Amino acid sequence: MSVELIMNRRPVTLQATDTVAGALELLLKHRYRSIPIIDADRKFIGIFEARHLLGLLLPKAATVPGGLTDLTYVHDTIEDLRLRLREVSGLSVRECLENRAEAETEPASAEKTDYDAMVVRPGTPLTETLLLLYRGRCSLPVVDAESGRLLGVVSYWEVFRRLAGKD
Amino acid sequence: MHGALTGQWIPRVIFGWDPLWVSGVVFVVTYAVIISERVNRAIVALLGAGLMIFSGVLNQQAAVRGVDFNTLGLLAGMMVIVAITRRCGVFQYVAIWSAKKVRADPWGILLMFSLVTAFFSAFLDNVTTVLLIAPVTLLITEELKVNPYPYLFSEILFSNIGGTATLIGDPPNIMIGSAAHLNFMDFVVNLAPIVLVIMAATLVPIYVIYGRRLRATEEARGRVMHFDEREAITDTRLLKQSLFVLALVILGFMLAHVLRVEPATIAMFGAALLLLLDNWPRKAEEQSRQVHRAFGEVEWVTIFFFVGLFIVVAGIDRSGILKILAHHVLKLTGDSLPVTAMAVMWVSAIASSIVDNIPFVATMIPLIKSMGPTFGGPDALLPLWWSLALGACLGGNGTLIGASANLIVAGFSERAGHPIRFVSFLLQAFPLMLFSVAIASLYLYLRYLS
Repeated sequence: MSVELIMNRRPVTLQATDTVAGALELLLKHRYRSIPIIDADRKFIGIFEARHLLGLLLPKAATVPGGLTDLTYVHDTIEDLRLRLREVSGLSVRECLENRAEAETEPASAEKTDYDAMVVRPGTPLTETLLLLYRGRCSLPVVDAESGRLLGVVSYWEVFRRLAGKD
Repeated sequence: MHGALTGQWIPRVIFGWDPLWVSGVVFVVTYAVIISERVNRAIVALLGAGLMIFSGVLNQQAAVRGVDFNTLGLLAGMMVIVAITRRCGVFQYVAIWSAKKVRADPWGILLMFSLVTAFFSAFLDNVTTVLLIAPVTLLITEELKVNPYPYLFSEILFSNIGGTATLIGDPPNIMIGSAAHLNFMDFVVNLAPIVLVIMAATLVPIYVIYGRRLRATEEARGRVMHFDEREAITDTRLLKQSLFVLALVILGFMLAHVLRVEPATIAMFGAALLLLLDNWPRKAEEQSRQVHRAFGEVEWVTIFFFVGLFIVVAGIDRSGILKILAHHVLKLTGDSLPVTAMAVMWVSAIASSIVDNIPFVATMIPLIKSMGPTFGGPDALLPLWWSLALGACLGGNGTLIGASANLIVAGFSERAGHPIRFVSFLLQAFPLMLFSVAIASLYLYLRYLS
């Protein structure tokens, strides 16, 4: 049994040109932890995670590899964070992805940006999918190998719903 | 001791080849590969060392005698002390405290951070200093919304300049002090004064080019003023212990010749003392873990690189190449001490700006030593030692590849989205380096050669 039989075929997505402000709205509306990003042809570009948004609000000095290990002495208020949010709101989600890729040149970070690690193919077996989800991915985009298009998304909700006999 | 010749060791080189050629080839190939950076330098140095022994230029005993364990002990000891000390956040404390002292004025912070960098570099190694200051610098410049480049540029320069002032500030000084029997106070008395002058002189162009144009809003400065530096200290007990041991160690260095103890002993003992204080309240298993971690922070790659390097240099020293080279150098300079001293300074500076100063200094030390007889004994070599120290340390500011600290800052800055380009750095830093070496040359002439 492969993943394409249980995946969500109409997932919530972000366009590459959507802004950070738009991404924040979607995250709030659906309470997702991550949303896949596609371009105009529905080709998969990357994933915008809630923690990426947190990262945009933090000083680069702390999020860059080799940076500060704690910020206990910084006393920013919510107003300061709102100011920072306003500065990044206009960025496109594609730009955010690119900036992150540049910054993370150290492979030691827990987040693997290796493309193969963050997507599954439609034919990926169910058990392998479960293992990938277990290893820390809250949701996985299902991407067609040849066209690169996003076919759906699978998360633990899809798995549990099936197990519980719903749809 | 490093380079000491004892007895009549006649190398029995394989196939009856001439030891001069064999050692020369091993030396050149080793250094070429190190410079090319194609293979990790520790690997190359150890292989080169092995070849020196296998080929018969040295035997193991002679090789081991060529390794300067005083340098290694001092390096390792200080590495442990620094690794433990930096955990308590004292560096962030000093940085933020100094930024607030100048009311978060952008130029004031540039000035303060440069001085802090120089001061710390004089007592800790340059790489650790910049590893600690670069992130805090980035944080503050982000908050102030100013370009971090002038700050990082200045910090690179001042880490190398500051490190010139003391015995422990930069590995070349450690090696020179060890070989020439110069102690901590010798360096302070002879080099610290001119280092202070060079620091002041370097700040002038930096102010003119960058400093006077730095502006930050009242609001941004207010945010920085709201930082609470006391919260940067994550472990007050550790802070007190670390500062106590550091003070003790520095005091030990100052009194070394009175105590008749060498720096390595002081540093290693200090490290052990700090480990004891840090681990005293812990259970055996936890102690084991913490000690393992502390020793894990020693840069073994650097230590083993030194071991291999010392042996390779011992090889060309033993075979007599360095004596021949020294003879040629003296012919060129007409046996004149002032000319030789100036030559050493400028050649060291240019060489250090392009290649790593450690292999260069390792080679120069026995070379200079063999000039002893010509100038009337080892004491007469003092100006040459100071000129080597000044040239090799200041030269590191010439290009991005001149010193490891430079590359560390450049790497960090790039990852944070502010790349430091090789050519733009060179165009600004190289003239400043020449300027600093010129000041040092004048000082050398006035104080020692006239």
